[in-house]
Amino acid sequence: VSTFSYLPEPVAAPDRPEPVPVSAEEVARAVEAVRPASPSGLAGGPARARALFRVADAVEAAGERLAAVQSRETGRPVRISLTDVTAVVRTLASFAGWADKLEYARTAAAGSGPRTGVVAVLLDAHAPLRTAVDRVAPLLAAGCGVVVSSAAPLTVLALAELAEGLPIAVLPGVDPETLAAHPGIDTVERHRPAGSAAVLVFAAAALDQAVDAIVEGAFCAAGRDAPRLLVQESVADELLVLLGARLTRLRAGDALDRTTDLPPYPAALRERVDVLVREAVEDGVRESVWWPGQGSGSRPTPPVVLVGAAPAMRVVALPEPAPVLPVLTFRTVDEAVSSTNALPGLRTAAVWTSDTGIADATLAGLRAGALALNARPDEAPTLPRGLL
Amino acid sequence: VPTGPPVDLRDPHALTRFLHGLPGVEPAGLDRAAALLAARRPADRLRAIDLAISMVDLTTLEGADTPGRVAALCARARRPDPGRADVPAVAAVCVYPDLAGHAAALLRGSSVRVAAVATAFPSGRSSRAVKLADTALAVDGGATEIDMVIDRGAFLAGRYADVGAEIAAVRRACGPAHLKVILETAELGGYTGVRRAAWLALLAGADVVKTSTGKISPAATLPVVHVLLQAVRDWYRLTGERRGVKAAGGIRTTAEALAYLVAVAEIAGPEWLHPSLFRFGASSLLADLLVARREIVDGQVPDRAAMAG
Repeated sequence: VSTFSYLPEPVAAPDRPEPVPVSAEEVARAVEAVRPASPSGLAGGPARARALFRVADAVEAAGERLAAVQSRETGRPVRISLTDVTAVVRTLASFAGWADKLEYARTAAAGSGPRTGVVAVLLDAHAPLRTAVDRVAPLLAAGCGVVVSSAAPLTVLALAELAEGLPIAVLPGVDPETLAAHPGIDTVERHRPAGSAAVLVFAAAALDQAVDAIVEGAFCAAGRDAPRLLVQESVADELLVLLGARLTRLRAGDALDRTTDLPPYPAALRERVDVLVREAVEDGVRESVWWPGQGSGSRPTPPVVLVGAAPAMRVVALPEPAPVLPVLTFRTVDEAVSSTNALPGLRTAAVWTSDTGIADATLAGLRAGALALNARPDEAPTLPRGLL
Repeated sequence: VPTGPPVDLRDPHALTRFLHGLPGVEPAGLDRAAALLAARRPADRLRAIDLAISMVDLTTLEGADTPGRVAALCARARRPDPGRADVPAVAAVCVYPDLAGHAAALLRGSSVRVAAVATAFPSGRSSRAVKLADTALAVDGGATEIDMVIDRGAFLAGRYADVGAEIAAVRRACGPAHLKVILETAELGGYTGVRRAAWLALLAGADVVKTSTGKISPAATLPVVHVLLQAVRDWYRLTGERRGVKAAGGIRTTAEALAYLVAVAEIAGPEWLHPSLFRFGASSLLADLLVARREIVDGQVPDRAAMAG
């Protein structure tokens, strides 16, 4: 290993403490504690707005600590956790701005006034800062009470500590289904199913920066969505050479080290990757499968790139948030747009080209939750967060 | 499979098409990538510092330079830390052409090379004849490396073939001497301009593409050096030839120098971690590297004033 070698080494997923089970009385107490006093959600808007702005400030002030808690609990690299904090602060501030404007929203929604109640929010362990705030902030802004069950409870607890004065309760050890079935719960919000996150690279593009963005989005800051790369055939070879070189420079290791790029991959996820790769090979991935530090006969070590994938293959058609990046090629703008729009649950699409004509045509044709040009899609706080 | 240079330098239209057809650079993404890499540290700091020392072009480019000052510089270049025999010599001393002969005499028998700035440094504004005469003066004096400046006016006006022809002419005047081509990246109107200038210099025969004269601010920056490293990396893929990069001006601290080395290893590849392929153009960096080195070897902070050259 040379002085400057950073080949990823396998890192074990962190141990999580087993949460203490929660009794039925505790669930009942939590549910009643957050029940809103006003059923319309219109009263107290300005006070909720102030409270949410205060939370945004508190989260910003405690950003380093929150990022460290999330990284320690989930293995998400701390530099990514720090960007999560920035996004979370913006989301909180955005919904704080909505809290006192709901009367207007009701008028706009043609009479069907907002109703409030107690919502159970069930979160998995993925990026808990972002997912928790994405789900909880709109509910709090609307005047609902929230009871959260999370597979990453420490991070959510640290967050909830900063939400002083707002009706939110976190139950670390609760069984999500028990909570959902509790009679005091009016609505249940589950973590949303995975969608697709596409990156389209055209021939005339800033390839080096495109590769950085692809790797960052698909592997370092992996979202809940399945990454897909679509590249124009004439530039595919060049892009893949750059991508391969970039992958060998990724660093795995201590999540709290600011230079760490990759989260640890738990055994279950590694096995899932094995299955995805095997299926892709069965489905006829034409060219190759590669991963950093690849050795002959060795098992694929995530992150994995599947070159020569096709839309019908299971690895493309079934979105799964795994560190596996299928690469599809296209020739024309029309083909790029139709292949991308055919991806299931297209959440985000980033287009890389320095040709403004191609950019216009492609962006106009894509039907995604968020679009970006020559950048990673920024999940703006105002984006709808439902089933896109 | 590496092929030859991708375009004929003498065909102005083809050259323009080629340079304008290079992939662009997305500034925000580049700046972010550079900042991200700058957080990394080499695993073996002492080795990295020694490597950085061996890559320094110890530079004095003042109107007030004297033979005495150049003599002191040469002594320092051979033995950067006189008390420590294991400190490597620097790569080269870099002087004005009229002092190249003096430096060459003082450095004979050592590994330290003599570099001279030429071609109407730093502005590059003179006739071709004057520039070639300037180069000949340095080479005849014993310079084995020539640091030339490009005609930024011609480059910005889109007269790429003229710029290329001038680099090629200086290349011929260099004979066996190595040619470093100073792009003066701060004057090229952005990263895409830097990428085009780097490719133009490589096409015209530059052994090394160099950021700056040191007379214009900003001089070397990490993102700009990323662009140059990407160019030599892509050139290698295309032709099988390894060309070098020199980051010149504004690099003063060990931490900065090591960030550049990480970028070299990560962008171009570990093969570029060699004084023949990467250089620092600097005057005050060496003192800081030596202080940092003593801190590691001795475990205590040395008296900085006593070590300044």
